[in-house]
Amino acid sequence: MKKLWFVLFPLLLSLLIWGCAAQRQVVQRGLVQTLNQIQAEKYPDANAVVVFDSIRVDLQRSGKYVQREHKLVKILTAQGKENYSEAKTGYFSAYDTVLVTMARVIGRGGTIVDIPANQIKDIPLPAFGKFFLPHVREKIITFPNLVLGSSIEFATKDIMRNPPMENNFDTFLLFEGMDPISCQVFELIVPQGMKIRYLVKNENVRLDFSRESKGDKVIYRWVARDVPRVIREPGMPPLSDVATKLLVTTVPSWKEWSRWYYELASPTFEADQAIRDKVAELTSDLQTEEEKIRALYYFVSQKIRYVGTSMSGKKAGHKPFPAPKTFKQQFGVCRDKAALLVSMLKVLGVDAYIVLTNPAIRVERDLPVDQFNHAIVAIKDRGGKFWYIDPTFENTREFLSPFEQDKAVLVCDERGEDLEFTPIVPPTNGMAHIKAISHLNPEGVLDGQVIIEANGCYDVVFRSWLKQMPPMQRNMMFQGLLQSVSPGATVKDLKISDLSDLYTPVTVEIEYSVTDYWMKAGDYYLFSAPTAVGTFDFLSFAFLRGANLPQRRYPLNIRTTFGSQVDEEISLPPGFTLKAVPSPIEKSYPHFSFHASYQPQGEKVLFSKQVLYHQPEINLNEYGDLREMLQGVERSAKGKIILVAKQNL
Amino acid sequence: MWRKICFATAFFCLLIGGGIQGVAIGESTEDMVKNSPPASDYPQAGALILLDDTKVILTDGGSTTQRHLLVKLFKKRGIEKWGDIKQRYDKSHQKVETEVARTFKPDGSVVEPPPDAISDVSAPEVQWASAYSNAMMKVVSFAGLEPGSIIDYQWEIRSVKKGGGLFSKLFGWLKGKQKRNFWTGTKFRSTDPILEKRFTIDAPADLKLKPVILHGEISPMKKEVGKRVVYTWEAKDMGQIIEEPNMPPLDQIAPRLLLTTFNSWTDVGKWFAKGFYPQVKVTGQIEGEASALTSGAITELEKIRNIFLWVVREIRTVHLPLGQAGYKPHPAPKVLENRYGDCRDKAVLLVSLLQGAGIEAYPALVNHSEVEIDEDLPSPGQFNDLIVAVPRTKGGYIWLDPAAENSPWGYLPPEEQGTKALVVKPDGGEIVKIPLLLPEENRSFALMKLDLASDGNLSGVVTNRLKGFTDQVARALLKDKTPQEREKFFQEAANRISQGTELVADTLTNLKDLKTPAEIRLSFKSPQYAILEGEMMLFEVPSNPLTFYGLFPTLPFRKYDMIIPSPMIMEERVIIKIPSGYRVAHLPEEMKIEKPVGEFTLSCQERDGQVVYTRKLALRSKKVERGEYRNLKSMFDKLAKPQTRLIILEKETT
Repeated sequence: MKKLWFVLFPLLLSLLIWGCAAQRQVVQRGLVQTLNQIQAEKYPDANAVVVFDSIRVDLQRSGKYVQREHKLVKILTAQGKENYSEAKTGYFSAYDTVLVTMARVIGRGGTIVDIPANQIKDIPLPAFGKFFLPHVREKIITFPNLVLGSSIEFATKDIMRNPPMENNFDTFLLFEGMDPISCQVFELIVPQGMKIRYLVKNENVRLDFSRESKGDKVIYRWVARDVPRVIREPGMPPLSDVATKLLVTTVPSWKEWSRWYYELASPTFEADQAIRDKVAELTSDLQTEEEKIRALYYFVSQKIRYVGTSMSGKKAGHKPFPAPKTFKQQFGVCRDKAALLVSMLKVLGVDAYIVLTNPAIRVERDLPVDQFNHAIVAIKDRGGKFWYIDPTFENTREFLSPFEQDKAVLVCDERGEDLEFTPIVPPTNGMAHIKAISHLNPEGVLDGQVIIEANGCYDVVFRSWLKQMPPMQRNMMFQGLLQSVSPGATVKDLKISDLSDLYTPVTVEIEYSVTDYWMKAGDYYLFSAPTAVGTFDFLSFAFLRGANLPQRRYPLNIRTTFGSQVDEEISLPPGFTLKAVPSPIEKSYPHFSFHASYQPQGEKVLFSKQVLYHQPEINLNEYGDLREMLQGVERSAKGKIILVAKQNL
Repeated sequence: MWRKICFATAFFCLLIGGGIQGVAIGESTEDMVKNSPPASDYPQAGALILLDDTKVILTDGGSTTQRHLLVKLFKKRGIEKWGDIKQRYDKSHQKVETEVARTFKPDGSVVEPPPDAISDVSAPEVQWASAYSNAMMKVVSFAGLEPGSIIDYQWEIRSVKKGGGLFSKLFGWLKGKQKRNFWTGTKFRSTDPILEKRFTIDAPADLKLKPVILHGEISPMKKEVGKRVVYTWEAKDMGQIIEEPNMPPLDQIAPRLLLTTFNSWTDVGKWFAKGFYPQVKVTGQIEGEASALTSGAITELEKIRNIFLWVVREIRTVHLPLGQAGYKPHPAPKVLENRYGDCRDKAVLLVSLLQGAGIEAYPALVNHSEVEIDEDLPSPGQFNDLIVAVPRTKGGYIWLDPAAENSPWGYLPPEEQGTKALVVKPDGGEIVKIPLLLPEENRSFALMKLDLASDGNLSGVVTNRLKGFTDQVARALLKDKTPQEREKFFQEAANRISQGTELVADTLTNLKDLKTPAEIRLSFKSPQYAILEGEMMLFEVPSNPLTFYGLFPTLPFRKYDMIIPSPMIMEERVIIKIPSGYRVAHLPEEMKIEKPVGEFTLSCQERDGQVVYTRKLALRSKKVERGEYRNLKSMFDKLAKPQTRLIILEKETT
């Protein structure tokens, strides 16, 4: 035994020494030089630099593939350290497997520290929002020993065993991000004869493209070099709408997608007796088809809770659950709710379809690439035209949420449909109508009453906010809102319509009082019309925050068309004469407008204000006009009505 | 030995409100469902907790917690809140079993969630702390929910020791048997009304439990059964807490039961020290690092500063409350190697480095959630953070929070000021009060020099000098922004003066240097700022566009005290050059309001062709008691009135 130990020990020791040495190798000189050239001074606006990011996809005819990613990032700032302290890759075991094939930290001097196995974790996806998905997992690499100037490097292998659409492949990826990129490569290796189509959108960055035949394969390669980072602007569209984007697909057409999803989803529309009974219960007393459709829509949107608890089956995450299951458990995600509504509408005899869409990002029409993340419903009217219903958004009166305008929709039916877009709704269809009556007394006390009838996005916003609060908290909320009319304003009475009644727009009636409302300046008494400051028609401030920048690089995304009409009658106190009112303001542009005016009428002043936004996005060439209009809005808010006491005349 | 103690205590460690189950009620559940009150009895409630019954059973082998929740849903928001019940557990030593999960529907039918509605997922904090956390959540998504439905959920959390058979477990336990420590807590009120809440501990009689009820009176029932004792606390008809803005945390308001077996804070200190100090390792590398960091320092304070700022800056903070991943840190050399750590790890590294430099330092447990520490209840459960205390030669401590990445040197985050810390020395712990800095140490001063032209155009320079709280806020906002990102920030800030304001320039001190106080400046041009009406010019003194904290009390009355982040002074001095051809017709009235809660002064004077406008708001305390709130509100109402900012100029008659 002792002899064996004498033999083994030096061997073990040398292995140990070699192992330690192997762990702390010095990386190749060329790479060190490359990394050393990347200095914070050369990238003053960067937290890190993506030295290279290469994705290589080995595709088979079946649609299965192996994707290898290799990424190297140099850390320049503390924020960069924070951003890259971990690398995460999500996957779903029903579809793919992810392996980490390499992970290391390269120190400033080129030393390498391999990431030990206990710092690479494979965990169920952390709960987020209403998603509790135990079968969806994450591979997380935690990088230790990060200092400014060190680099992280990792490689992963993603084996796709079960492509969503068999015998097909599609993807899209961005060639711009929040960090500058020295080199980004996307390589697609396909069997000879497999037809690939591709397209580059938003070509801010030049992509070098090559196509090479190698044996029985064809290699497509796109390379981007020296890509500057994207600097976020408030109110900018989603990154994928503006960044250089490559789309690749083998799917021949949108119609193919449409048919594919129809085949996947249609078996789930089958209704059971419980569903049939419910349809009858909800619609038997109603007269018109629209009333019946609305009743079913409100049932699904209100009574079927939105939550995601599992993704199961071969096409989990794509295929809805059968309608009877969703109906029975009374919860589901968007595709489940959509399938249930389709099922119920079919029971009613309505020509209904499931629809793929994306309310967040722009779906590029040019190539049939899956850019969808949401499912809604379409009904074909007698003229063969489709119109749409979204049963997911619980606080929307209209069939489609005001935030789903000009969004791509793919109706999925047996024959296949082309990609279309939802209409843009005129702002007059969804305005807040605000009527106010204000009395100012000789002591400067203002008593006001405001009635807000909310439509469109105002209705959605009020309903969403107020439903979350107990009535006492709603009172507190309006109390807070009124402080912008005047500090010290107090709510005397608050009436809110039934928020669960989607048939009626939200109506809020507020009675309030303010002491010491006016400002006395010598013989003059100055005050603003309470509704002039924008307290009650507040969405302009919320949605146009991005208009604070003098110039923009990206369009301003205001998310919806909207408008407001304010009419206020202000009774002047006896014993006072009107000295002056603010000048009217008229600002009209093709896609937005603002009007405000004051009309003296005896002992009253009538104030009227209207603002309209006709497009959900403000283009760059209109931005200057918008800024000019907002200056007018502000002047109107600051304008003062001026009184003089009659005795001082 | 420490491992066994830790392991034993880990069995019994339960966070407040976490993971304790109740006993199934069986038939009485049906009765409770049948007799449950209607929504009209609770007009403010989204749901009513019919029963919340928790039983903790402590044995030599570990602990089992049983909980029974029966909740009636009144409104959609109740459904949203209760529809998916989540139970946290640590997968390394706990297991959660669902015993009963069902919904009693208004029509009398009973629905169970399908098997795929019961999920085990990672807890949300794992996404930023995966290296630390084995935290999981068992989630049950209930089916058949609508207003009037009642959720019935009964579950159990068990401690699970991995590896070894029964004999080895028993033998190991006997071998390492030490005094077992236990602590837990629960609240008896929530944001939903509660019909009946019960909390039971069933423990060996020799485990001396020390219970305390805060913010209320609930006496326990005690029953002795053989060598065991059972305590039960019960409360009925507990009203709903309706949250107000800026109110104290629920732990400060709701009747709260805290339990501990520790006899004294010294004992708590000893327990914590046993896990902490062995991880303080002054290796050659740590000593070398300490030496390198202090080589240029002359005084001990400079040495402390250099080491502290290095740990703050160079060791990435993993944000996890103390206790959520245990109490024992990793060894200091490991933290140094990893270059990341949670509060425990950063504290142990800081203590090690300071010791390496010959400076004594101790870990100090604190609560950063504005929850007051009850000195009568020695329990680690009262704390959720760990900082470091360095004894001063003249008494007292220098307090250092190595996770406070945005606090300037010398400034402890305000949520830790004024609280009680448990300073842990190797031989035990003592409670020490951390001083609350005076408002003068949290002062922001804005100087605005403005040039008003006769056409109403305004230009000027705003300089903000920040100290303490507002310094910290500004750093958090700006420190890590790149130059272009900062540019956008300042452009937006300038536009707050008025629409169309152009940013001319901006500068700021290096906010990454925590030794240098923050000073931020912007210059601007604002066309047509003042309003011309005939012979008059209406000029509103602009608000400071670089305000990093705004407080405005909105409610006329409050039910609860109001919490302010910090005592502070906010001061602005605006010097406005009067345009030629105009004279002052009206200035805001001077104002001085002094109340116990604070004071406000405003003065506005004309001299030498300028108007000098100064405002100063001083708040003296972190808490405004509800009795004092009206004074605060009336003070703010006066100071925020537009007339306090309005200057009227008139054209001079020739």
